[in-house]
Amino acid sequence: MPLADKRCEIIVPCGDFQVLSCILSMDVDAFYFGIRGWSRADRNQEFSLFQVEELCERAQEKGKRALLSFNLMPSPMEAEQAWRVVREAILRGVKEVICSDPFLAIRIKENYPQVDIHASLGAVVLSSEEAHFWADLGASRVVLSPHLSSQEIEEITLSLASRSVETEVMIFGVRCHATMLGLCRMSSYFDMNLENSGLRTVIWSGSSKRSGVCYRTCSQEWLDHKGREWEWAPEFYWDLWKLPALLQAGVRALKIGGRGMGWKKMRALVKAIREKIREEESYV
Amino acid sequence: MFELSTHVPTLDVLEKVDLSPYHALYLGDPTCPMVPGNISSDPVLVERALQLAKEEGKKCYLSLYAEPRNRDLPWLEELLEKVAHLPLDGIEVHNLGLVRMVRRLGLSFPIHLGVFANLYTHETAKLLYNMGVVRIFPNPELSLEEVDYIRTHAPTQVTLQIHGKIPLGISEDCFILEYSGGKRCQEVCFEPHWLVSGKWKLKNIGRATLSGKDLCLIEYLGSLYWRGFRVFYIQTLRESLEYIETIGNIYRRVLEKISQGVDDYLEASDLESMASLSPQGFCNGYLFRRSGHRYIGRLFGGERITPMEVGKEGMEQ
Repeated sequence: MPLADKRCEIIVPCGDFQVLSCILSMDVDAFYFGIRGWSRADRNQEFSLFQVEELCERAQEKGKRALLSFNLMPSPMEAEQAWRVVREAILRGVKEVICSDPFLAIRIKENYPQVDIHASLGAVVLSSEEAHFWADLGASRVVLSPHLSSQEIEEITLSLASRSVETEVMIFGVRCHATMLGLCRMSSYFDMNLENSGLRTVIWSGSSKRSGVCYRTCSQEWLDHKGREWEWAPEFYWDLWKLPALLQAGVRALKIGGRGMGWKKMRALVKAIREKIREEESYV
Repeated sequence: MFELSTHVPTLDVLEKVDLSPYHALYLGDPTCPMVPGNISSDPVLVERALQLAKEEGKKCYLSLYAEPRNRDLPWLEELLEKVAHLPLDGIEVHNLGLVRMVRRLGLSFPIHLGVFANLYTHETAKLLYNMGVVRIFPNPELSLEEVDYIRTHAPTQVTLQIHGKIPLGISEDCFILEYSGGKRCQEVCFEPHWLVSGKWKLKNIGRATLSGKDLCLIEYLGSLYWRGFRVFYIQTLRESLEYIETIGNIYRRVLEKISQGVDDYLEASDLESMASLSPQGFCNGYLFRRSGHRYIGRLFGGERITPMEVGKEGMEQ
């Protein structure tokens, strides 16, 4: 099916089985989840490896897809461990993996070519050339940086279309200001801790790339040498207003960020997005 | 034997600073293409800088803009095509898209992966090596053991920052310009911008934010050298001419002593000079698996780690 004719899918976060039950009754196409210690969510909003099979089965029963979000950067000493965890998740039913580290993408593609790779938001894809780098690695979808304009999203989406690679946009989430999302070490510069978590024993809490935990040091009051306060705090954004332009640009996947989100809020967001999509489609 | 390098953003710095301590120069400021006189934004400047640096016997790597958007791709491509015939020793990219572009254009320059490229594993280093990346700058968040693991498990060279402020992030916006009250880049770009939040400090150089403290590894340099590190880097963007010269001279002298087997290589006068150039103090970054702003060591009033602490973390690892 040409990408342009594809139904625009909505992807939501899933942090526990209670939320999963609600998600399965929502008008969404897929949800993403993390394995404890290996995603950018709070540790209590991730799943154990042994729960993956149940997650995938329940999703399939309701005609939805379960996307494994494996988007932390492993330590070099953990690289093989990371791969073993991903492989185990694939053997337990995962068919799509969201990742940031290029070696994982290649490893998955070489061993399980049927599994779809999504270049994560953490891969910080800001241009067509970067998107094509991930397509070269075998990614079937590229999640675009929230810093991009609608025009840039359109350019990248169009440039990928001939390779049947999709783009995805996070329509609700957090946009960093002090540095680009995925390229920040301010939190870990001031505070970083070691923690135990599930099957992964070292978590660099404070490093968003390594643990998913950011202490948001940019949100503090930062004064320059003239005593002016610099507004650096990240902002929650809700880009529903951009949706017509995104659809026009050929984007066919919209994601909602926030693994800890309550289901009522999620349902309201999904409803608003779906209505807006229908409204746009009715104009065509 | 070893290589000591730094960035040289403009011709002005190249002409005014005694860069004799440095074996190699990264030409251009990768944090912003709008920096007035940025060598890596103009092929004419690249050619001139290359000529001057080569006369001094330097290796020269062209440092490309770190976070290009689609609007930057045409001028970057044009720049690469225009410098293709020049005797550059390599191209520094901070972005995987630019790795692809250099290959797509069929350029034979060795590629160096810069600090903003977020490289965390030896496996990715191996993958990129097959794409022409011969040197990588691992993410500064990695510990010494992790950086060394990459060095010993990947075919790429590994750059180790041994002094200077740590690049902590890069933004799409120039905050200096944003808070300048309508001034132009030329008027404000080189002004120092320190940011303070309680006892914490950061340095902003426009789009990039750097640590307030200077990373300093001088007391560990002998150990690092004999572990096998040979590619050393001093971060000097927006530092004074005195800083670039003095710090470069100290490290060059110390590295030469170390390479000859001298273990008592620290001199009080050097430490005093370094301290006077770093009023915000020193840190060792993340090398000892601590927050980046801390200084672990016996110099500069540093913290001591007990063997018990080290052992505990070793077990966790």
